[in-house]
Amino acid sequence: MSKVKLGHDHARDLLRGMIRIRRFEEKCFELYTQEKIRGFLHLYDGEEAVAVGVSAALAPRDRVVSTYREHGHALARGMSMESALAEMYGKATGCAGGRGGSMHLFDAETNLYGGNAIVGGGLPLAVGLGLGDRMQGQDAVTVCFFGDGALAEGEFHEAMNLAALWRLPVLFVLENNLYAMGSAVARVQANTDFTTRAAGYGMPAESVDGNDVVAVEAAARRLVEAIRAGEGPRFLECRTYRTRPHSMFDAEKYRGKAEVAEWRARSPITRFQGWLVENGLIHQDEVAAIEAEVEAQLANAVAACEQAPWEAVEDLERHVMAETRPAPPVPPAPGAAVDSTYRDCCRAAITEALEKDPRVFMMGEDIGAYGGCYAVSMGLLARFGPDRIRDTPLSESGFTGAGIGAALAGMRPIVEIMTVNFSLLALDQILNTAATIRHMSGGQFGVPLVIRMATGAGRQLAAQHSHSLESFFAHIPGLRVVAPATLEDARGMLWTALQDPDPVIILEHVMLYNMAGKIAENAGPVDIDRAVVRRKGRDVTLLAWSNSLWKALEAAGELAGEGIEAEVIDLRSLRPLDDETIMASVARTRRAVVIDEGWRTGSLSAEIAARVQETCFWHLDAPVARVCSAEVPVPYPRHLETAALPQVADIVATARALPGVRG
Amino acid sequence: MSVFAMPSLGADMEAGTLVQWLVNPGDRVTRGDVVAVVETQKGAIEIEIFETGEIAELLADLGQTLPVGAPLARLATGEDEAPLAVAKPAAGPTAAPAAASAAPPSATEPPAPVEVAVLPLSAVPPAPVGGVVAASPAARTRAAEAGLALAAVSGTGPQGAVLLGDVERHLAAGPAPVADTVAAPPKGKPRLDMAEMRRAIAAAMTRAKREIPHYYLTHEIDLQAAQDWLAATNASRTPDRRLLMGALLVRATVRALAKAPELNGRFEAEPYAPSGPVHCGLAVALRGGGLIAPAILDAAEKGVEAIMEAMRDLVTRTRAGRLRNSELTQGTITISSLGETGVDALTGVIYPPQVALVGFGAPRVRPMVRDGRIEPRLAITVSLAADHRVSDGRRGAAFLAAIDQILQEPETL
Repeated sequence: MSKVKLGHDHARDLLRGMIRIRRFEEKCFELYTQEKIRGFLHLYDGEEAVAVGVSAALAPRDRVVSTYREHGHALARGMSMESALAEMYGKATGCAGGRGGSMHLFDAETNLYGGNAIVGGGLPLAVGLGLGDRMQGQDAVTVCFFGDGALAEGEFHEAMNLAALWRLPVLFVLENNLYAMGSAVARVQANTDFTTRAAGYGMPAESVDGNDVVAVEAAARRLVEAIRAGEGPRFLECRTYRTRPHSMFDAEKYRGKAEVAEWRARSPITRFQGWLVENGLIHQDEVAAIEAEVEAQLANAVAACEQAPWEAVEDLERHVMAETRPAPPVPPAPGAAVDSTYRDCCRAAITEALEKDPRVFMMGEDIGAYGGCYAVSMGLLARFGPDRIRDTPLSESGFTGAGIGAALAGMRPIVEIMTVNFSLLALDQILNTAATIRHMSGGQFGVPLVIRMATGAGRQLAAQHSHSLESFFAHIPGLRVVAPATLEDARGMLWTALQDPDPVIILEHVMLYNMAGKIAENAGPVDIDRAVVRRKGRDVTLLAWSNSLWKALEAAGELAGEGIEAEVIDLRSLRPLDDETIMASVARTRRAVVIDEGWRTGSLSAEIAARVQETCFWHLDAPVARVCSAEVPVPYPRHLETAALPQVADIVATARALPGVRG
Repeated sequence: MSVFAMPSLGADMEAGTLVQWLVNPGDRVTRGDVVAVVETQKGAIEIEIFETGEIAELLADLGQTLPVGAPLARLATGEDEAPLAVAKPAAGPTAAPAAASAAPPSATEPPAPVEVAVLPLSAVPPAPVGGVVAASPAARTRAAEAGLALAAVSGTGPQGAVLLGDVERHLAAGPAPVADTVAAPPKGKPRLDMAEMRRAIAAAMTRAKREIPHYYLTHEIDLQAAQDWLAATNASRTPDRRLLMGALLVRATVRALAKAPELNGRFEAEPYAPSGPVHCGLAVALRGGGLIAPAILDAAEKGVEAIMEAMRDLVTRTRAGRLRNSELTQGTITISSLGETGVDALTGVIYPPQVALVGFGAPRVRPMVRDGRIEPRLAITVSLAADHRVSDGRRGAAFLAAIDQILQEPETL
């Protein structure tokens, strides 16, 4: 199994695989000069043995995560030249409908998960795919290709640690082509013995001549077999060289022509073909036949691409979100009211999800043995075990990306990020992968992932644990962002979010966890789409969410004492915004105050104010007003923290000052 | 307690300069009293107050230029003795209005904990925009629905901006009440900014031609009977009590409106409703150029003698620059007369939001056919410019014919 049986047919297939890639890349180069292909184009010439050798060791059910230099991997895994080329043409017949281009080849049929152009960003994704397979008892192996540049990225280390820690079925394939773009490894890597990186995580590693297709295949077979046998992840360094520039517009000032010429002479195709012919394993005529066959295929592919249709402009926004999603739940008639807290409701929701759906699991920092930073997951480890209540290392990008990968592999992960400020370390995965992959892949891959984050200030946690970054996430197409403010929403939003085919971010305010109240004993899933009028009023609409809702309601009470009837809306969903409910109210009251715990500049309140004037301008009797946090990092001492945040008195004063609010 | 604010005296008024207080703190004032003199682009105007009470405090200083809506005085009305905090306008001859109306601080309120964070940017009044009425979008929408000119509405918002509630109140109130208190003798030294006046005329006339579909009628009237009656009447009078032909023309016009009442009114809201009282504006040419059309209030109630007296008073005060706001803002029709030395006829432009303008050319002896013979007789050409949205030519013709008929029977005037 692990030995390479180099019979005639297999040898010919390996050679054909490499020639196919080489000719394809040459054609891409030509088409680029003719402006048929645009954008960044990174060619694989010289590295063909890695893609072909590794792919020879894989089964169809195995998964591949690649980089922006992925044409070879896609072709070696069986993608048609037409499908890949049409993607570069930007045509509708491309493997991703033309949405991704050269750097983003995706193919659900061959389990190709991109084409990831954030160096290092694919590694956590591969960890997640492996995690998903492992948790579902699948024996698929995920291969993650990456370059030497990725070795310096934090995500590499986070992913290596996670994969080794959880003994996941992942083969990390380092394509060491000696340059990260134009930076020679010696210029940017402290230690160029890269297998020691794997050793740092106790992960077995091999290093092979990446220009020897047989050596690559042999090593890959050994490692894949071990992985499939459940021995955990493996690391394979393939030492190779790209013989073309980094991308099309690269003058190659960073390396000498002699060096390139020397490597060209060691081209994996030249070497393998020469060796085969020399040893009588293949006849020159057969090589010529392969060349002719590949040329014919390429000519057909080019002709097909030239004639292929463009995606209709009307479909521009297709695949940002899933085209269908479950209908919102219809809550039952409320039963008897029981005492609860927001924290208990969060925990009840997680418990329900774990009980009802075996695909659901939760992971995050200190959620298990510790019981959760805010004690939300207290007791769940004992009940559901370490697989489903999964403590993670402190590596937000790594485990968030792992959640994305697991979701892609069929799981329904709940990722907890301890504090919203930490989520910035995972922003690459959230924005560049979770929110993007559906559109970038032409609708082939969706990420049904839920990320819970504790957010907000008020606990004297100072400037790195207290911020409200809703606007960051609400800015991103491809995400849903919700903010439960009530016990019912804390109890009911999670399940609905888990049913959604797209990533949902749930922001839980730290000041709410202790909030006690009554909730129906049969409370369950609620919709995550609509804003709700929490108090009716006539004179002004207070728009709030999360903890600010309660301040707005208190302010409305005070205003009522002055004869000002304020309507209070709980936005609930921050992306998308429920414009219908917001505008219906403001058009009636003609005045709006947005309460936002975020900083004023570039805030969600700014977005809401802009929308209100876009929609309701001719109904407004006063400018839209805002109550936001002071533009300072949240300070530690109580009096300054209080001063920095929107308070009830501020809301009252702002509403009271609105022209005409008193009728 | 209420606030007496700089009134809007016309579509084109944005601000006024306080030149005289005619009351002092502690004075009792009655609705309609003239309390101050304000200089505008149309000259000094006596400002009436529309509430009864006691002057509690004067908030504006002489010489201050204040935008429409800026507080001028506090008035104790006896209805509500809670102190109403209003900041004095900032000092200086061209002071911007105080931001008081945007966020009145109250002594009973605790200070807001974080002023920097909560001060809404929108509470800072925008810089005044030349020639544009500040109004909220909702107020604009409602006013447009009602066919109401925003300039006619006095605003209570920041910088005098018209709010929805102001429009609603204006519409609910109907025509403003008329004050007939005799003005105190003028003391201020008026002056006129001719450039400002030119701009104001330009704005009003441009609006008229843009918004009002005019139609025009002319008619020649035999004035000989009126002239003969006038000569006989004046023969026994001292010069200061003599009647002028102009008074007869005004009286005849006002009476003729009974035949075509739709020509008398202000088109401020749909549906148009004619005015009951006739406030007859007289276009008065000023020495040095310019034109003002103050109104003889309740002209239908006045006989020819009273009309004559009102005309003398109005012309004197107009040229002295001492008109009252109601005279400038409540006209329901305007008469433009070119007088003794003018040309034969004029075709007028309606003064919005009125719906008709009557023009008299110069009276002149002309050959006229009487009983089949040509006779030299005093004649005058009267013209009507009227708003086709509210009347048609047939009604206009009936109106001009009525003027003619009345002037043939001067003894009935």
